Amino acid sequence: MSALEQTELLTPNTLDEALRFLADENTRGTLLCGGTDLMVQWEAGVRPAPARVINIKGLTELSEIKMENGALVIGAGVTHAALRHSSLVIQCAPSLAEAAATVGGAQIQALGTIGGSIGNASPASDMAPSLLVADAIAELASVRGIRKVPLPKFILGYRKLDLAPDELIVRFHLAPMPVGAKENWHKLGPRAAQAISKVMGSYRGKVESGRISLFAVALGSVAPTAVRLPEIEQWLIGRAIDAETLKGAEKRTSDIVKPIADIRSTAEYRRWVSGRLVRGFLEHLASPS
Amino acid sequence: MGQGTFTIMPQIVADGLSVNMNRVRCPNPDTKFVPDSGPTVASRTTMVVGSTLFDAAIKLKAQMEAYASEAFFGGAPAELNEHFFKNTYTNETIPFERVADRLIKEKGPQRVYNQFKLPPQIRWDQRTFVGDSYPSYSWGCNVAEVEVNPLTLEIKVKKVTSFWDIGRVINPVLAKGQIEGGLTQALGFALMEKMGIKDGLFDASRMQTYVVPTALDTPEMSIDFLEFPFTGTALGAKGVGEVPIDGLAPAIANAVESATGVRINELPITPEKLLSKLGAVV
Ligand SMILES: Cc1cc2nc3c(=O)[nH]c(=O)nc-3n(C[C@H](O)[C@H](O)[C@H](O)COP(=O)(O)OP(=O)(O)OC[C@H]3O[C@@H](n4cnc5c(N)ncnc54)[C@H](O)[C@@H]3O)c2cc1C
Repeated sequence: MSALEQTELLTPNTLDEALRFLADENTRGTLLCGGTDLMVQWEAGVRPAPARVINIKGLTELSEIKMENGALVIGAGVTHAALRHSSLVIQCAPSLAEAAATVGGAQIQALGTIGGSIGNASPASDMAPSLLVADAIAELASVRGIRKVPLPKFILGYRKLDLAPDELIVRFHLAPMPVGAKENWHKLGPRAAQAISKVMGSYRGKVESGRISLFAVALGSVAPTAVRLPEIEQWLIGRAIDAETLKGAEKRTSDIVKPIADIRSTAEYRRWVSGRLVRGFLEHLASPS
Repeated sequence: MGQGTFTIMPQIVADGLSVNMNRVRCPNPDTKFVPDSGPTVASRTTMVVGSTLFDAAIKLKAQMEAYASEAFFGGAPAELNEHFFKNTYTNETIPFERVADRLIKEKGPQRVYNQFKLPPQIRWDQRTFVGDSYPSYSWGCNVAEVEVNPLTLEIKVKKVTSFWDIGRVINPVLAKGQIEGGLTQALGFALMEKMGIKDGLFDASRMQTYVVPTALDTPEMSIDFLEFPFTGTALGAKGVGEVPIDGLAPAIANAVESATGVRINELPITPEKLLSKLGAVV
């Protein structure tokens, strides 16, 4: 028997209809987009099957990728497959396209969405680091109106979001990568595909006249949420990328992060490799290509 | 799926009978009809069951040839060759179907009985543990090319080159497939599969936590056979069941040692273990 035998399914045709369902306690339900997190959690019994599900998969209002007022706007219902192949994303937030290409496998990429990845609020979301380095803002909607919340304020903790019961994520607004800047994504998993990250991260950086003028770095799976590392970023601004900088950034990062041990890795490795990833990002930034 | 037993057994029987493989049917084994042949162990199916069937097929062939000789060739020797029985004195041929039809009408279905016998030189004394406990062994040699990322200590197996002596190779495609599968399993054994016990329960209780290799982890594989047929049976085949999983993990351990200078002597070999041996001084 399916875990969902008793669950009612509502499929709104428009975003407005979805918001009206969410606003009314008699039609409110768990949002389902690609279902790649939820279906697994329900069937495994990790999460009880809800009384009602609102299926927002395919809503056109959630499916767009476009430039708007100088921001890269990505609908919450955009799939990993669409992200990795979007020329806008590849151009304006390349590490996000790279990250999308490492999510699960082809099937999960075809169904799973960026909204679901953030909506699931897991520290292992492969979408979070690249969104963080692009200063992403989550746009939330309800019948009461629109709220725009920067991602670090939206993801509050392990499985905790600043999302009211009548709200949903409509899209994310990203600052496009500045001209002359670079990005990179590095995922460490226990295998090459279908892997939950041990540690992963993204950076966005720029060097001008031999000195770092921009550096944003975010790591995942090292804390209850994905985190930016402002202390490292500030320490790096104005420095040349030399052996001392590399060593200093690596050590400082390893000192700052406080990862845990679990079945996928040890705290010791996670702490060490966090520093190594930052070193790798700086080497990437310094490399000629 | 499966090890290909239902393909190679008809192949072996067809070979012993000198008939086309599509004349051979291989029913599901059922202990109502076949004797207990011992456990499914030690990669012995091809060598033991295959040899038993091969020798039985040769007996059945001789039985049919004797009938053809007597019923059709007035006592001149008959030889079954694919579609015909041939009178070896006159080269006269009679289609297989004609001989078979008449044989069944006159004498009913033909049965032969054959039992596997260990070659006489193979002796094992269970009391003193002296002798050969198995009549033959398959052998393999694996070379692993491994890359260890100096930034993160991630381990990637780039290529595996391997040679195998499994005796006479009955079906090269299936044998290669079995070896590819075994090497992939060995890759998981070497680099990722781990099952710990926490509070009396397995900590890796699901496929999410018990990590096995994906297609993307699987390296290029070069697989070749060196055939030294086993001399103790007419078939000459040994087994290819378990041998592919045996050698790759040590080969990977050696390659990782040659790349990093540290020896990990506990599987799986992980970046975490390399780090704790190397210290954070990379
Ligand atoms: C085999 C497998 C491999 C995976 N591999 C990876 C991986 O490598 N990396 C990775 O990061 N993840 C991975 N995942 C997790 C998951 O697939 C992704 O995080 C995916 O992006 C989730 O999106 P979804 O649309 O399927 O979410 P759903 O399952 O539909 O929803 C997930 C959560 O988000 C909420 N939600 C969905 N849309 C919205 C919205 N618009 N507003 C508010 N809340 C919303 C839902 O209510 C639910 O709580 C994997 C999952 C599986 C099953």
